Amino acid sequence: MILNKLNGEQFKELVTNGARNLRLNIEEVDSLNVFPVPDGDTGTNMTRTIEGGIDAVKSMNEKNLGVLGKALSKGMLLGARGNSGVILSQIFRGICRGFEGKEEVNALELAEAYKIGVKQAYGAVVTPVEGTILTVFREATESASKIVTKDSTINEFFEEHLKQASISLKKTIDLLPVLKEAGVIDSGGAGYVYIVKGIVKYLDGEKIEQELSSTSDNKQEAAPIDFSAFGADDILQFGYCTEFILRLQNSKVNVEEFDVQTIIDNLNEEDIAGDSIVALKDGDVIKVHVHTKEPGLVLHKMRKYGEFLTTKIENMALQHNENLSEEEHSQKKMEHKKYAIVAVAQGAGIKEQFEAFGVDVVVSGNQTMNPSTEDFIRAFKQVDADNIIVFPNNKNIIMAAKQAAQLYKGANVKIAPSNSIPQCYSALTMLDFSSDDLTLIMGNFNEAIRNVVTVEITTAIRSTRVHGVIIHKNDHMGIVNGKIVFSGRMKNRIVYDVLRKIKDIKDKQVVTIIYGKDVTEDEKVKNMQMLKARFPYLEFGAIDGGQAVYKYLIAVE
Amino acid sequence: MNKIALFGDSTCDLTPELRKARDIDYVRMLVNWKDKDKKDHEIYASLDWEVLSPKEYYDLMRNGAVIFTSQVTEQEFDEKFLPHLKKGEDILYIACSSALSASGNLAVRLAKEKYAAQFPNSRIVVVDSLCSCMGQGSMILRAADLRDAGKSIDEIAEYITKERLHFNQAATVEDLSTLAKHGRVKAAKAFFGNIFGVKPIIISDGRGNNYAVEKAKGRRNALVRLAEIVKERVIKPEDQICYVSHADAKPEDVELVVSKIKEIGFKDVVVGNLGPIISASCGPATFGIYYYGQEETRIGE
Repeated sequence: MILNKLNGEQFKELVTNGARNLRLNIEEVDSLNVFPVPDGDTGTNMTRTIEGGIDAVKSMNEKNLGVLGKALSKGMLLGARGNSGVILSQIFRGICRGFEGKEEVNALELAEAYKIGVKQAYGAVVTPVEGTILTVFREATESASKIVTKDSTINEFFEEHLKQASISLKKTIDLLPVLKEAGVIDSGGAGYVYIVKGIVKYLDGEKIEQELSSTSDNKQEAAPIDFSAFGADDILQFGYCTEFILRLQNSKVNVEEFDVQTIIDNLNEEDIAGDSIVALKDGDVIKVHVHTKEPGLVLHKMRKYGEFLTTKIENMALQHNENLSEEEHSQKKMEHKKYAIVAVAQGAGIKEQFEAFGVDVVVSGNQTMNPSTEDFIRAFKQVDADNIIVFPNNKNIIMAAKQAAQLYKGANVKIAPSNSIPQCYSALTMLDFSSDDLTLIMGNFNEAIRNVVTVEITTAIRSTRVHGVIIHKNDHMGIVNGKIVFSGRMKNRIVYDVLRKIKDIKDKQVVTIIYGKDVTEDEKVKNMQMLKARFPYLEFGAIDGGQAVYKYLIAVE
Repeated sequence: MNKIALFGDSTCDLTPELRKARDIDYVRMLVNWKDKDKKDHEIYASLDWEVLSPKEYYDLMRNGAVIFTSQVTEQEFDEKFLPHLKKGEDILYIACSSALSASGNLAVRLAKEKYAAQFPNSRIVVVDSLCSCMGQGSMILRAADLRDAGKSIDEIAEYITKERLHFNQAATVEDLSTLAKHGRVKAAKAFFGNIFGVKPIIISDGRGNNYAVEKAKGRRNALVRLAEIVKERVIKPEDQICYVSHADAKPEDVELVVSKIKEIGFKDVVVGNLGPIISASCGPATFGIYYYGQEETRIGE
């Protein structure tokens, strides 16, 4: 397909194909993590961001590029999560601003719009770092802008854009020392290249077959199921919501002539006593939804006609309950407050502690640790306060929090510079609104945060060398204020081994250890004994955080 | 003019030597606890520590005993006041903060309903110190100065009542568990919750309550902060003695506090034991610093 001009409908198709290509390669981008820690999520974050945009425009039949761009950019802005996601959303925000008021664009105008994207993205980052998605996007835009003339096609622009993006991506390893040492390319840049590849593929006539997930689907995924709603003494009243997709088999039936009514009749039989039956035939595939107390019989009978592609059986007592509590939840309006706190956390124990310490809403961020801009805005709406203080608790979340703070007009939102759970924990223990002076309150939080040395201990998932430390796969690895300082095998003294790497540990007073879900009682006891023996002047406390990935999160103050 | 017998009570922390030298007496409150075999013990909250030494008493708490306190009894007042009244003397009792103990109120009631009729020529004046420990103790020493300078009981009482909120306290506890058990310190709810590593800074507020006004992270930071507060609020340190009281704190902690306090330039810094009543509700290793400073107008919630 050769495009001389680009309209809204076409742009939507291009970006959708780009998003599909990124989702196809999500795991590879996630794995491009400098630290050998299984929490790389750049691919996931960028995919969810761009899907937020696609979700906003997928039902639009809009030929006007300016109008479509505006909707796409807004959806991406709200869906943005993780720093790479936020930068991606700002790139598209800039590009779409370049489309404003335009029905369609030619290659020259497209290049101009992309240049605005560069400005917008660089402007959104406080200190732009070269060797990241920013560099890849900027160089690709510059190069493509140079070659286009008023006679160029849209295809030529994107082909050159892709060519240069791929070259720039390879060079990121030389621009950032930390990438070079670990021997990986920049993950955000890699994610961007996959998007452009998807765009070029579409122009080459290759439509990628890949389902995108929509934001509304994700909400359902994320909703926790309350298993206590069906206890040991409960009687099955509603039955099971049973759904399946069946591939009709030629060895069993005449696929072409098979009548879906056969299925419906089966489900209506007395032993199954199906209710709310929906059954559709699409070629050789049958899709069925039925409520029954005998899902086993359903599965058994259906195999007369074919084999299952997927099945899903859910106790409706749970579903029922879930829907109710969801409604209750959205109706729950919190009491108006002068000051409120929104903090990001993962792990049941940490959430509980944070709430006990006065956090009004804990944002958990669904599958990945990183909540989207929209997740923050939802939390802001829920708290109903004059002043909202946000603790992002991860470097990769700060940008999404800031973006939300800018977009939300209902309160004065301040972002506490907290990069870690230990920093947040510490600031919360010093929580004191009694001065009623926001500058003073924030000043106290900042001071508390500055005083904390954050220690994270996790297990290495591959052998590598970072910050001069040689790491073997499965080592216990200690990270102090974001730098790997120790890697070793001895799990019963790992906390001591890491803490003694802190230069001014002698000047510290209080150590709070947050245990992850994978720490055994034996490890807890032995580590603590060692610590108390070696650091008699320190005060030690411990809480069960229940977090994944990090066996120990530690605040040293 | 009658001779004035000057009294404090178990919270005033005046040592036997000081009391003897300045002709001051005190009425005793009581402390009680259960031992490991659930046996009840009750002793006078003595400032002479004749039954249990300070170390033995604080260790009792360290080993898990929860110590409860009770106010001065009518019998104790009779025992201590009657000999003076019989000699035709007046009594000036500078009592533990009424927010912390009902002893002063009982003395007022006994004076009116009992002693006044029996001893019409003696006066019993009770002043609410709105304080405790060496804050109350310093007030009593000041009263002794005035008495020795020939001031009347009314002049002394009026002076102490006017000045009492200048007798400042800055205190901190080592851990929050004892405070939590007794609930004797006022603070906003979010303040505690038994937060690990957090040390409250406790003042005696404008109504005589112990009130946690701020918090510090870590013991050393809290101790340094106490000295900072003293420096911020003190008036003419060169003319006064600063009293540092503690409930068996670590020697290095005492050394740190004393060195910081000495930098402020007091005429003298005197280190002593924190008495049995206040330490019972604040726990071992509690620190209190007492000095003359700005009038305390803050009121706890």
